[in-house]
Amino acid sequence: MSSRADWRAHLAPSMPAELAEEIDVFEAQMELRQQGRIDERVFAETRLRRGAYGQRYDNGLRHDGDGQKQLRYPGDNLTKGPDTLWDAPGMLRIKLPYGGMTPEQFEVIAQCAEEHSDGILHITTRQDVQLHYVHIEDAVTVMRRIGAVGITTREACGNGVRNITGCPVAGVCSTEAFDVTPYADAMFRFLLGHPDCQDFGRKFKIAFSGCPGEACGLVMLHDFGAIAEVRDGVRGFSLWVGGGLGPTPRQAKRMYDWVPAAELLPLAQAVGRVFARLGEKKNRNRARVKFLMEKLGVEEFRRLVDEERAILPHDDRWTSYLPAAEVWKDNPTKAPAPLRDDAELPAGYAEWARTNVQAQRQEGYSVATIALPLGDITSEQSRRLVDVARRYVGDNIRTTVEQNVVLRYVPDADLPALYRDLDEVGLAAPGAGTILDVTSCPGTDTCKLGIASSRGLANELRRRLAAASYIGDASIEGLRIKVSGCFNSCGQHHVADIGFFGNNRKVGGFSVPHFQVVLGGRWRENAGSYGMAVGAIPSKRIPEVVETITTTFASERAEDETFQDWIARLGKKEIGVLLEGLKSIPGYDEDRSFYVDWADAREYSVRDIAQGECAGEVISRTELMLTEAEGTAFDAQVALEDGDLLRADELSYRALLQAARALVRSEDSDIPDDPDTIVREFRERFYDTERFFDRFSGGKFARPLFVRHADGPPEQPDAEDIRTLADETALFIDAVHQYEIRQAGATGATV
Amino acid sequence: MSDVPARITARFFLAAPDAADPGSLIPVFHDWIRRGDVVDGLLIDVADYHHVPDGPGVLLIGHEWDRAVAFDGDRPAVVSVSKRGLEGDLATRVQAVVADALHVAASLADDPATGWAEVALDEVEIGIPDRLFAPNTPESLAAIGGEIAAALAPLNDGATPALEQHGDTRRPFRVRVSLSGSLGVRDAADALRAVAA
Ligand code: SF4
Repeated sequence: MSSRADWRAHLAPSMPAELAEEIDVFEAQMELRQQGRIDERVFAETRLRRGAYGQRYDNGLRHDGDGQKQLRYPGDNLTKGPDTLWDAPGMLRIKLPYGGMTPEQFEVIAQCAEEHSDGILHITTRQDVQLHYVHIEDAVTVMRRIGAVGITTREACGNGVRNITGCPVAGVCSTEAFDVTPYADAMFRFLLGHPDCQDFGRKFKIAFSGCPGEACGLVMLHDFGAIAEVRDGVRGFSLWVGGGLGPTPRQAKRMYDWVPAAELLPLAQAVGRVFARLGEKKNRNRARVKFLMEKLGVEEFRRLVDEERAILPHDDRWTSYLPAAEVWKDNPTKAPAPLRDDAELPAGYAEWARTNVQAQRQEGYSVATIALPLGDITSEQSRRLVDVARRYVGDNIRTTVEQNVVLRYVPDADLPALYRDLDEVGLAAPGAGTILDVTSCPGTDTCKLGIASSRGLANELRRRLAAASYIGDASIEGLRIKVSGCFNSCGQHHVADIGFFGNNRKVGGFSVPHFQVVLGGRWRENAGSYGMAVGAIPSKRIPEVVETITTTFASERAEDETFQDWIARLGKKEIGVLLEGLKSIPGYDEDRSFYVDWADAREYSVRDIAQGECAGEVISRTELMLTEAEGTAFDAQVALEDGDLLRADELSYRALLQAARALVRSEDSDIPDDPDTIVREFRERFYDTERFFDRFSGGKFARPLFVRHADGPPEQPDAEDIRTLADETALFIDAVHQYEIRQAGATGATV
Repeated sequence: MSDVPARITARFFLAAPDAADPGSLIPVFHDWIRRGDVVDGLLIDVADYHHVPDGPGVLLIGHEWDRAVAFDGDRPAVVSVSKRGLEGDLATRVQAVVADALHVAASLADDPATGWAEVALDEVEIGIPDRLFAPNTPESLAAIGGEIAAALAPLNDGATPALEQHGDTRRPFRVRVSLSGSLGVRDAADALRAVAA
């Protein structure tokens, strides 16, 4: 197979230099981990911050129905994180801000899926694309391949700013205040790798919405959200903080009634600083912003953010994008054109158009939704969809939080032809946004935390609903079903009309997969309210739950009564009565199918649940920066081996600066990435004060930093001198580590 | 660039495509993992994609190999994909992958639950999903087609079979190999394994 080095060389001309460097450093960190020179916890967080996530069974254990068995991977039990074997396949998450991607980017992801994964692109409920069963060695190549076309996996996982979601119909929607796309894009770029967002105790999710009334952005369930609003002719946002799902769901609180767009980025930065400073670090179950918000209250939180905002060093990027954002325009491939009354419509078109086509604000154009089953699309289908997109809409492709893809700016006149083209590729299924369009997280298929098979259930529901006659009732058709494999809620079941999350019950000594039923969540109004849990039902009876709930609603609801109102009217008690009969489980010897999960054949067990990596380990920023310095120092050694002396010198110097900066940053989070300042600050704070000195060596390990900084690059590179510098760099990094350990010992903190 | 690919696919098309029942593969593949001795390599899990139209069907995911009955070509097929661990030159690797696909097909056909998975032996498709090693171009065909064809002579009563390239340059390298050998599925697998060894 073409090796990582082959791809690295092949892509070098098309990679942005900074990204190429970052990936080189990650690759060096991999090598160091393989040599046992980086701790597995630190490497895990480094890996997560590069979007490479663990997957079920990667601890080398799997229950096969009879008992838990060892999966004997090669590789001498080398790990890439605690209880995570190096050779076990993992998941790679690709960030797509607001779900946007170009045909070229889509095609490259498809190529990576078929060359390094299992040929499936999985669209997530946060508009990312995930590839599963990717070996860590291949993950680096995928990072390079997608990096060469402008997309990244950076901070897709781990304790950082995750993908930024946004309305897939932004810019074409008739209810929006203005198109939030350029603002979401600017924030994505501004916060990616931002120093103020590296010390979080947990992940931080951001969403944008163009209006308060629709669902698209789901702002209320995010850590930080922005809803567009124009006041006195000025573009701005209401800012919402502290939302989240999981076992303790919270609605975001309105922290700023309205701020002008110029304040969007600095306030996000200030929120990040407050979260980094005051957010919980030890107990990851209490480490999201919502808990900090709860602890402080919205007034105090805002006061702290204002305080932080007032002292932020100015950054041109806060506003430099605004003039372009004001005049931002999509670029349709074709001119608008109405659908003629006498146009010939293919069979199946009318139903597809009814559910999957939405008129745009721009007359003569529509948005067409490609409904993907469980968010899955093959590489070949992706390629053919790319062809269709190029033909009709060009760059106007977006993923959605309902795990679909939309094509925007389809001329109305082209809709029948588009339908025909999609149908040829198996992508013209109707039912987008209806009860048939069931959303699901990966669940026990691939997630280490999964308790029950959310995808298995979701698929069974899709299959049965597609054949059910009662779905024709208009009051039922518009309901939404969302399934999560556990209480962590990645399937967003809280905001579904009918939601489920997996749990386990013991019956007669046997485990039985169950789903907790959550009813009446509000999808609209940006996930306006969360549903009510009404009890756990055996997994195999969930299709009956759906039938009972929907048919009773259709027959008993008052005129114009919404599903949410109906659920509220019935209350927990009456719903409990309605579902009571579905809680029973036949004995093990009577019907074993209840003891086996959907789309599985093994007797059900929860033994495969392992430590999740949702949040990663909380590793100090200094430690992460030192790991980065170690990666750079490693690359310097490689350059030396290759005889590239100037590069070895340059990389050694960079590693020295990275290590020094790591230490300075522990006391001054605003330290700029400027060599003069780093060296000066390091000297004044740590060298002149002798704090950096150790008992035996004094401050000698810092001297190469000062000397190399003062001398600059050598005019006549001498191999011996540069080898010495590279070796001294490693010693300096080690001395910084030792300083950290001494400090931690003095303060009782963990490093 | 490395001169031998790790990822190679072999697919044999089903003799009776309409009889395919992907759901029945799930218990069979789980059973193979439990038993551990049906096919080579470390077996990890079963990935069910049969909800995806024209998709990879149900996959048996392994460390060195993935196996499947896939629906993503013009006909359903039994597929083996080598991912790592193969040794030898390209011909030896192709033989190993084709032998594995034949073995998987025979094992499925032997099981009453998946007896529908009998394959036709008049054709095999070889793929190399590695664009850097072999883009799907006439040049790649000229460079490696002969080696692939020669490797499969044991399935064609010793004669070098004809190859035809499939798909455009955006697809992974893929050739269809026409066969007219007289061996049955198991014997064909054994014959290839013998020469590959
Ligand atoms: S909800 Fe649970 S099972 Fe589903 S992806 Fe999230 S953590 Fe995994």
